[in-house]
Amino acid sequence: MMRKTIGTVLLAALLTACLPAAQAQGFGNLLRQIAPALPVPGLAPQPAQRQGAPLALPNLSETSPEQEVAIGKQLAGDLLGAVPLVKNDAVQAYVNRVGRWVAAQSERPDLAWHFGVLDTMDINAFSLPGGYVFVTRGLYQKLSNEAELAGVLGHEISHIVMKHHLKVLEKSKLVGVASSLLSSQVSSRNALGNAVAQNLLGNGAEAVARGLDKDAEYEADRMGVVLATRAGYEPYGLPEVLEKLARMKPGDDGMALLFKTHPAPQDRLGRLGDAMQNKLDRYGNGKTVEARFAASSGAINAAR
Amino acid sequence: MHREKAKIKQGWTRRAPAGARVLAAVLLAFTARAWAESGTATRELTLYEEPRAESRAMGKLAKDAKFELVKRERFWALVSSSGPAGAQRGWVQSFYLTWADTPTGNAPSASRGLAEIVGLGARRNGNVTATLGVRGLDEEQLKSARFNAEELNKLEGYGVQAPVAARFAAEVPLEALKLEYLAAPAASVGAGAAGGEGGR
Repeated sequence: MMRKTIGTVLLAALLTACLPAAQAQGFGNLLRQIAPALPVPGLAPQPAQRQGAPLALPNLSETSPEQEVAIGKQLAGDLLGAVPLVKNDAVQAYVNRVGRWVAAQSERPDLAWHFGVLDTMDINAFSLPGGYVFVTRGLYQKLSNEAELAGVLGHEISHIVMKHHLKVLEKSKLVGVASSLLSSQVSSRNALGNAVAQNLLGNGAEAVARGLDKDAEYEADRMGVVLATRAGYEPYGLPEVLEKLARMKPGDDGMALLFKTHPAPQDRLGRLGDAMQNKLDRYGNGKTVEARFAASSGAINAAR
Repeated sequence: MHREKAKIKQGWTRRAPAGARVLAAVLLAFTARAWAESGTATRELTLYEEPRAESRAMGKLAKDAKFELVKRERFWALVSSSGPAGAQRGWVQSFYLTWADTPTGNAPSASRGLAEIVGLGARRNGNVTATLGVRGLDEEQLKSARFNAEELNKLEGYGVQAPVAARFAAEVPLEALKLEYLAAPAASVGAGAAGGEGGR
């Protein structure tokens, strides 16, 4: 056991040292050369493989739910290294209840969903694979009721349901190796293993700064509205938030990253209007839930 | 009794500090400005008699037509506009409107306090970040972030199971509904032109 651990530490150290070269020549080949026994999904040993033959890289659909959660956890830890949570248990508990209820209406109700309010006045929200969702204090304080919060969380939950970020990571073709490291015994007990995985994935905080393509954002808007409506909220929470954002400018404080990572809010509103038309008006009896939200809003204003 | 009330009222007015009177004047000015809120239609829109698409169509608001906001109800706006055909008035959905003269970037809404409008809620505004010591987010900060296990543990500790969320929903009560996701619109007529990369 001890020998195995030492071996994996040495492997990890070697991987870290060789990383640029590994990325240049194909990580799978290098991995086979130095660690043929390391279990990597989609990279089963292929003794007959010719030198220079295309790599049998992980199939995109083969990232298991466990690996997805391991990746999300790593990236969430990175993001929290950039911005901590608002120090208020009541607010965090409240957001987790609203978020979990909205997520329960999705096609992935059984993920271990986690929601956090980040202590920054920047106006934004983020999601990471495996059920990690964040909204900033700056955006939270722009909201007027629980239906608006549900709409914002619904948008982020939709990214996770559709695995938008995971698909971007999978395109790097190294996610299989990284997720294998993260979900193995190596990562949970070994910082170096994590460091290797992190190098492979890229920094999670940076990943959210890159954003997704516009179509993924429009899709998450359409789905987020429906998730909030399914949860019993009034359907126009998310459009109300988008309208508030549309009244701001890219140069306004706290807006730069949002405008960089998302289509312009007015554009999103137009697309959402085209999709919604009056199709959800029959659900106009949905709730906005003012009082409970106001209490949480008071708590976040008091939190330092 | 009546006289006593009047006396109290008179006394308050007389003793009102100058600051309060200035504040009142500012409140009035800002409130008036909110009432006079104006905007532009980003595409041709039907003007409805009521804030419902099933109500009677009253006419059309041309693309790029300027309008004044009369009032709002949910995601509908009652607008008035004077075009070549004379004055028009009707309800339009807010998806395709842009707004001018927005003092703080916030929409006027019933749930927003006057204090926020006049800036007494400035602590909420991003531009006082520095004085509060709350960090903003920039790319460099994100790129240099280091894994924070302690905060991650806290985050995971806040997670709740589905039954807890269901009880929370039942307090309102929020009732779960079944409905399909919305299809992507075949072509977004003018939507891209409405916002553009730079936003508004």
